[in-house]
Amino acid sequence: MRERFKTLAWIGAVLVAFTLYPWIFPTKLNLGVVIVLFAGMATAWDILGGWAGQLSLGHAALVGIGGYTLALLSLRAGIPPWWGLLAGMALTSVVAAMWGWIVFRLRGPYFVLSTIAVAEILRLVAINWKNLTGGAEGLFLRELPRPFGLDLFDRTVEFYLGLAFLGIALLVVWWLSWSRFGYSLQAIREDQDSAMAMGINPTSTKILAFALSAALTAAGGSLYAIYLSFFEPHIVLDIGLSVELALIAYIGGAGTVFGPTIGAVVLLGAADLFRNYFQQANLLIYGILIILVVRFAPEGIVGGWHVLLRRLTRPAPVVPVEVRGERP
Amino acid sequence: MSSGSILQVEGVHQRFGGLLALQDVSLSVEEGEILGLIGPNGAGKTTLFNVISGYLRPTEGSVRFLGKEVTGLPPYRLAAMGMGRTFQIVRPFPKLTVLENVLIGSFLRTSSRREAEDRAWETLHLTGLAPFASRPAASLNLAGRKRLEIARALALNPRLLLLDEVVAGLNPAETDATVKLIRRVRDRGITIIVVEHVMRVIMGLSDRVVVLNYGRKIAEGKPQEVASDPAVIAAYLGESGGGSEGR
Repeated sequence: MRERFKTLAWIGAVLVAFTLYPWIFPTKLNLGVVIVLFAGMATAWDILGGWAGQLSLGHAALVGIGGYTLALLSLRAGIPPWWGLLAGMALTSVVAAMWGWIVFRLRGPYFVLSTIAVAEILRLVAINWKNLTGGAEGLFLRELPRPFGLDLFDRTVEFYLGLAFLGIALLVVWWLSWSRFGYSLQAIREDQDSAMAMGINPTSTKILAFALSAALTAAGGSLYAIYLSFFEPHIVLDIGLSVELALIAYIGGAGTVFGPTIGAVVLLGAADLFRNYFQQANLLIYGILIILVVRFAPEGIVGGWHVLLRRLTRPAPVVPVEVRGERP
Repeated sequence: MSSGSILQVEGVHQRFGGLLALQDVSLSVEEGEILGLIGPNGAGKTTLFNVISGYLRPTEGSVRFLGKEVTGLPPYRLAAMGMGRTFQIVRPFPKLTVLENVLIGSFLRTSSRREAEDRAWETLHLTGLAPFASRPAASLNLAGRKRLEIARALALNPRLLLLDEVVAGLNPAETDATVKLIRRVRDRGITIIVVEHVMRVIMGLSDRVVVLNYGRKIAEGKPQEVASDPAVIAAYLGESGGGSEGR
């Protein structure tokens, strides 16, 4: 019980720390926007991938649907972006529910392959259905309305919108960390047969998790589309983006409240830092980081931190259980 | 079938390819009793558990639970109706703590975290696991993990509890503690079916015993009657008799 409010306080602290970012790194606003957006989207990915243990390599499709919905509604119908964002979230959660209804009959690697397949199909549709999506040439968001006089193309505005999005994503996983729904997801991840004996319906629970994850990912995708202002299927629907979201979550610590956020800061921060030194070779850093994490902290940075803490505080981890009958 | 019967299994056949794992098995469990289910390895005990708890759909036959036809219902529906089970190969959720494991069970009856946690603690005290509440389930030894299996099933607040070899592999002191626990659970009004290899345990614990051999029911009755049944002695205890003290 107390643990749960400690986590909430930490979320507050993380968000407050992030609000200082534009003052500390005024020249690095682009990076800041990308970090908060990817932290939020990786957190959303983690609802399905980490908490429920259903590895998806198709989340780019959800980013794409979110972005395209906002952009197309704005370009073709003049609908303001906040409605576009909500429409994208609604649409993706419906898509995810149908997608899940089909693919959650599959377990393990078959599920992963099916997510790749669905995302690839959507990418090809987006490239070829030129009348709707603009095809491979992409879409250009030239202008957007100014809510409360805010310029949505201003990087500072985008940063704080992204931060609000990250805050919502963190609150959702905070809720998962103590609620019945969150524990149902973890039970399914740990042992699906056992979970069924505990009265948990794995298929409907996973579909709900997917829909929730999708709606949040789409919100991130909508904001990402505004940030990019020009985007094409190769950017927002690419499998590389799906893999990146999964990696961020894994390296930070999948199935933890702060793992994906830490992963986004470390991976994207490192990539940016090394871009300056190694130019094109900056992708190397991804590879090296992945190897380091897999070798030294297979459960991600957060998991590695917990192991370290346990070693420092409790040197003898295993004491045999002496089973007795006890009356309460 | 008697009116106090909580579970009826009728004419169940279970076929796996060319193997007939269960053949025309029928049994009935009375409310409040402990029914022992015994038989040599491969007799079909666990298969029968899987049929009853919804993990297998029987090739033929039917299962009625609390007077309702439940054949082919998924395990989570049966759990919600009040059927709890443990697994022979213990499978607690390894990365979660002992408390969280039990919490998942008690969340079946309430969505309030506080209520679920209260119920979970109550179950932990009943099963003697309270001192280990904040430890990861994977850090428990076999006795602890078997205890945790029982605790999780109890947290569901079941009417019927299926226990699959919960004392196999335990030392005598641990075994006695578990037997006491099972009795205490029954005293709370929960009906229990026990699958067990340890004869001393099953004979002392059960009100009635059903014996399976090669997928068929070969005997049923009070423990003493069954123990002296020639067919049972031949099939289960060995032709020469004796040597019946478990494994």
